[in-house]
Amino acid sequence: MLKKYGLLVSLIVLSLVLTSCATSTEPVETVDTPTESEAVAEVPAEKTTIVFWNGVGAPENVVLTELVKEYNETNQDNVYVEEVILDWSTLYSKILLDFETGTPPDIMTIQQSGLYQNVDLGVLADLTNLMPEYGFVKEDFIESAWNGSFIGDQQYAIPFDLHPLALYYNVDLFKDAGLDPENPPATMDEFLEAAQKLTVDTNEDGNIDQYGFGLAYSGGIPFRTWMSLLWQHEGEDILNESKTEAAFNTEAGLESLEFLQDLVYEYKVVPEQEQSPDDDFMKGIVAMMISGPWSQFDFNTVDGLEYATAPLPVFYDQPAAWADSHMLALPNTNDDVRMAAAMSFASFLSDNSLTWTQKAGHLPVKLSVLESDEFKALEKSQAFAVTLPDAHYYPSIKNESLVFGRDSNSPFVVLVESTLLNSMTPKDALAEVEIMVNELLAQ
Amino acid sequence: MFRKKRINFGSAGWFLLPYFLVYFLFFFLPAISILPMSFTEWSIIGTPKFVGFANFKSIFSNRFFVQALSNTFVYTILVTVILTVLGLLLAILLNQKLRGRVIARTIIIMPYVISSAVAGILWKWMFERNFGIINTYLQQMGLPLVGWLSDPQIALYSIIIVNIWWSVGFNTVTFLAAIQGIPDELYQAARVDGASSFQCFKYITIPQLKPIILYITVLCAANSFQMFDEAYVLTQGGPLGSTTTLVYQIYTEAFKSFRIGYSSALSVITCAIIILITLFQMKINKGENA
Repeated sequence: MLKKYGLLVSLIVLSLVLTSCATSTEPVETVDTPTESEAVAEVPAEKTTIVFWNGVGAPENVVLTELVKEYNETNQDNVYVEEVILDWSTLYSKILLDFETGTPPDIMTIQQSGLYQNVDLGVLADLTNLMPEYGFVKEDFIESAWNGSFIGDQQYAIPFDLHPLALYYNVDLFKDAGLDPENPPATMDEFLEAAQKLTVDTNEDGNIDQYGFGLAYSGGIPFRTWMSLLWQHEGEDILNESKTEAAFNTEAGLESLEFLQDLVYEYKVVPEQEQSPDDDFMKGIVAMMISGPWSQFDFNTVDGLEYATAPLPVFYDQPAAWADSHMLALPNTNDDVRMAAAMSFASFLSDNSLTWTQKAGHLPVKLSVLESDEFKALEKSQAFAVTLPDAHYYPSIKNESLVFGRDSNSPFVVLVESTLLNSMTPKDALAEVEIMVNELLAQ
Repeated sequence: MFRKKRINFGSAGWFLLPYFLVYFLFFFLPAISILPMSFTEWSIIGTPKFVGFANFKSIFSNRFFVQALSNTFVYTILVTVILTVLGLLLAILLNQKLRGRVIARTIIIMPYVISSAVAGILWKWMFERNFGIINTYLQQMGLPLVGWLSDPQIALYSIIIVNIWWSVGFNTVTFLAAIQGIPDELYQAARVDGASSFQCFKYITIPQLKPIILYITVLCAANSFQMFDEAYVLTQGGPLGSTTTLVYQIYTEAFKSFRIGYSSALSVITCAIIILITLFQMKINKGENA
């Protein structure tokens, strides 16, 4: 009998031993939650371990990992940060599950566009009173980023960076086409002229092998570009003032959409059905493209790619560009000690946001960093900095993930795909997507 | 004798128990709980709100559902038929005493060794419309460029090509093993009676392979009905929803839009369809055997 179950018993024992080994390798001890009165007054004697969700996604997330490591090695706050690396999509679904099961992280990255939804679901802690305690004051931040961290009168996040759209262009290809790389296109006419000059059949085989501009037929950037063009029309917006109905089905919306379609089919300066302008830009197949500062991270790894950045050309009445912002938020744990530790860590990240800018490209939101000589030395970041006063967030709404989603049945993906794949007229596409958006807003 | 049997069963049971425990707790229970969830409106946080059949009504009036259902059926039927027929033909070919058949067998099973996500990424590069390797050759031959993944009329068929390339090896090897298990005496007897090669194939090989054919078709149909990885990697369900399958829609509704009730209802419908297809296949097989 003993022999018969011997194997089973030894397997169980082995698994128990292995499990206990795994749990005993914790780097530091986690402090038990003290009572509320103790928490505010006392600094914990032992190290407080907090969990940080890094959701910014590859490849830039490694920069945050470096900062976490630096904080763990240098901080005097008696805090140890355990980092969990996720992508945005996983972070947004996992936070709901973990919050519901009572095991949320202590601090996490969040996009400004995802703030309202998570506040509405009650996931995030109100930081309004904590902010000044840790030195976060309005005067130190760019106004738009600071305001973006509020829902109503309450502040729910610490602004960490901003990433507006701007124009990237290949300096060598500009020179080859006889264009001045010091004077990138700033108006619609200049943009079209440059794009046409840069669209060439380099090996003269009858096929175009270098295009002036890169524009994917799907994904987030094309519809954010379209939104930027809409905002470049005075008085135009995506939704109405009360954010209850679509407001984009206008002459301005149509004109902007037709322009993007014309770039592909009329001016033929964009490869048809383009999948990845980033890849094409790195290969020198497209000479200009629109993206956020994050693209620099990849572009800088390409040997021989000499590129520069410029603010989005003013195609219509005024400068405007879509932007989003990375922020740091604290899920509602009601644990004052851990919240204090999380805020200390957030202060460290905020104070070191220049490293984030230098390595990951995203713009700092602290005025002291923006005005520093170190930041001004970052040549390629300046175009994004110039754009800041004209940066537009998505309208802040509860159903953000539905309305501004990037899935194949998300309204604005349908809008650009229908138009850029030429399966619908821009007018019909706008009308259809207007209905979709209004249905989602009514939910 | 009886005692020995009981002991064998007992130890097998003990070894199977951990699996069934995990299966019951982490697969069966959550799967069953989808049914009550499908009658609620719930975004993970808070208490689910009972809404009756509202989710089902909303699904059947949603144009994306109709499109996803149609995509899923087209995909399932084509993949199942092509994979079964091609797998069988390749198995017969590789069963011949041809030179290099060991190498050919290795080559055919090779794609199955890599993960479907990696296969997806490789094909995404090759399928790229403007500068991908396939279109580059087409262009050099003077043929027009094909929007393998970007043309809504073609994208689903491109995913079918990827799936067939990736998984035909598995079916081939399964058929090959089954063919080699058919007793040679049957063929010898048939040949003595003057049967041709085609008659041998029709009256011996096919009837002998029937259980395996059923196994392969049920597996292919159920797997392809749940296609997700390829669409996720290659097209993200696009362009214009042309490669969105039911499972892909379940994923986006649940984990992007957080409409758990709605996606549960979609799961219930998907599950019901898979059960119906499987029953149908088994019934056909039974009918033929009778």
